[in-house]
Amino acid sequence: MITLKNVVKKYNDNTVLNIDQLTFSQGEITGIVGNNGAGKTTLFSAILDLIQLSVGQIENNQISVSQSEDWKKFTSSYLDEKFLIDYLTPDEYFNLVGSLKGYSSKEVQEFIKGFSDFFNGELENKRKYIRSLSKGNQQKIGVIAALIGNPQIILLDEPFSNLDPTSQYRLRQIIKDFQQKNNCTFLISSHDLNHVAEACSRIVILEKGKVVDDVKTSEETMMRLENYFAI
Amino acid sequence: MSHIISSLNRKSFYRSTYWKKSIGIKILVVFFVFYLSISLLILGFNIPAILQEYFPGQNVIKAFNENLLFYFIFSAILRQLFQEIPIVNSLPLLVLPFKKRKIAQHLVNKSFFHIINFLPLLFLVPFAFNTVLEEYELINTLGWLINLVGLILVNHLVGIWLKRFSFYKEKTSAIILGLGIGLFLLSFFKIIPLSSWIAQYFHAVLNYPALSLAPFFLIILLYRFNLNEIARGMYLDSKLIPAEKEVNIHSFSWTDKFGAIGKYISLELKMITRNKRTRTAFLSVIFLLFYGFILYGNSSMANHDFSLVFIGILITGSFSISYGQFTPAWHSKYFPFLMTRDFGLKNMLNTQYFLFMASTLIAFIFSTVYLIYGTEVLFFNFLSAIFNIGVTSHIILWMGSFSIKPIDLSESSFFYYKGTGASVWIMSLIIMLGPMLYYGLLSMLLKDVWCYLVFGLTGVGGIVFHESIMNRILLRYKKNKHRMLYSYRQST
Repeated sequence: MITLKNVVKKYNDNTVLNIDQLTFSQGEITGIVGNNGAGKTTLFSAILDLIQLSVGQIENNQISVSQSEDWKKFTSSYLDEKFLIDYLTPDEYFNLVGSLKGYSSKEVQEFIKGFSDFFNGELENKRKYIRSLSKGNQQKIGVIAALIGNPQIILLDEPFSNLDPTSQYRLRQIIKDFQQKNNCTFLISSHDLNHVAEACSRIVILEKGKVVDDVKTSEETMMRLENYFAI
Repeated sequence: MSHIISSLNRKSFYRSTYWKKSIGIKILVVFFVFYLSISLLILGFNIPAILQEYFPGQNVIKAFNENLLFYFIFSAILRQLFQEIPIVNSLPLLVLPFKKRKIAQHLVNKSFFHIINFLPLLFLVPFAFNTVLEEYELINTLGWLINLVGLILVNHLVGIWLKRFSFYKEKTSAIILGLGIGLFLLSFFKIIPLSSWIAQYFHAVLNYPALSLAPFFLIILLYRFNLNEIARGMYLDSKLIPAEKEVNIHSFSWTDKFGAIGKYISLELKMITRNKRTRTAFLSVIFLLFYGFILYGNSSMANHDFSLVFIGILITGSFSISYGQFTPAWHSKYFPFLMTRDFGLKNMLNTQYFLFMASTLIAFIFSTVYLIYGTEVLFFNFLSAIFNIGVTSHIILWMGSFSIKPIDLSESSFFYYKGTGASVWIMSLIIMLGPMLYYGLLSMLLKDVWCYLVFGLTGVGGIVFHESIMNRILLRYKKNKHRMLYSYRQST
């Protein structure tokens, strides 16, 4: 679905992303791991055409992301709170996202109801703007909003951060279930090796902008990850 | 210990984003301050002449003393708008080994250094030494001046105490405003002769200068009171720190009637009504609407075609010019969201244009009140409205694609330097420069009626070619997308 070819991003002389060839195919849940500054967010921003590449090309479903905007129709993402319109209430935000995909607010509400466990009842009937909610609840709203409208590709940057332990496990399950049901592609970056090893079918390790490892998840994956990151 | 706090204060001053402003805006602000100071100094020397004109036959000093009440009411209201005591900034200090009273003391001490406390001296000192000294001894004059300074500081301390309430009670400002107007009316119509009581007090000070120490006892009391109050409230859950409660949600569902762009209109209206920053920006729109009463009343301006067009464009374009000039920047905080969703930049721009058009029409309808200044005014406003819809609106949208400064919607202050403030007026002038130059050129080349006709037809032309102009603008936005994303990421 997503193909990166010869992708380089430089800020001045500092290369932050340098990937020769990388493909994410349909139906995969890929975990992107790496320490701070490894280029995870830069990679996501590049796929979403939020930054311009210095060299190279990224194709999303055979569409070059910098040439056409058609990929927006089937791609959803939540990178950080800059993806939330914080003066809306959660419901208004969900409805807006849904309406951009051509869904009525009734359909959207029906969809959101399926995640009431995840929200733990904290958003129900709340007349509050997103800006006055806690970081964790904001994160939940952003992640769930990214699932609205039957997207084929979903990019989530650090979806487990800011969440309480129970919500982290629930989110892990939500991602797996959603993938099974819709056969869509997930790209997830995380610092939490445990969740990544558990939820993802493939793991890509980035270091200083380069892919240093790319494996299918198996029994030994967790060991391999721990070996890599332990000092 | 206090030198650590002072050094933090100094750093926060020198490192504030204000100094990162472009040199042009700095010069302009300096120029404004300089201009204001000179005006006040000149005012100080001219007060006797002015007072004599308005209160003929009265003693100048007595007349001055009688009007002091109005000054204090006015400045008390201004203080509620301008002054703040930023307790939030001192929160990181709370967990460090500082005494709360010490932190409070620094906050209050720092608050004294506010321009609003120094400006009055510019006209009080010349008045004291130029006029009061003529009638009274030096010691009496000094006493009078010290007494005034004392009362200014009392006003200051009461002001910052009240202001802290308005953090969580927006009504306080309204109450103070009402109280001020009430007091003003009561004494203006001599129902309660408050102003003459104040005048009598100042007269007494002039005769017995020792009385001027009285305000300072009050200052000490208020100072200690403020320290205690601030120190007592230094908790995260105290009401000094603003927190948002449950809100009234108006969904603007009537915008559904506008079809495809309906949801964008409703988003825009929600943004305007739900953020402090946009609400205050909206006030300048209303100010511009009423600006006509000042300008048309001024006969030297109201007689020129050129200035009539200027005023017409300003009034009918009040929304597009003062609010629209920040067009994509209002959405800067969640710009990545807009750019990754199938949001349709085109729809967004069309919404803006729709709002510009609607606001121009509304402003034009409003401007019919200016019929009291003659039918000519209405004609020029009509002409300007057409020109605004056809040309100015497109110019503003086009300029928006060069936007580089993000706007923090939660920033609330009136006349804030960042974003809005001085630069708004510069931008407004730049926006209006094109249309004004164009009209000037037309009026030089063509006779009256032809000039109006060509000017109006240019506007109509803009409306006719709206689609293709918008496509051009859209291309610009697409081209500048990454630059906008990059600069909006900075500093917020």
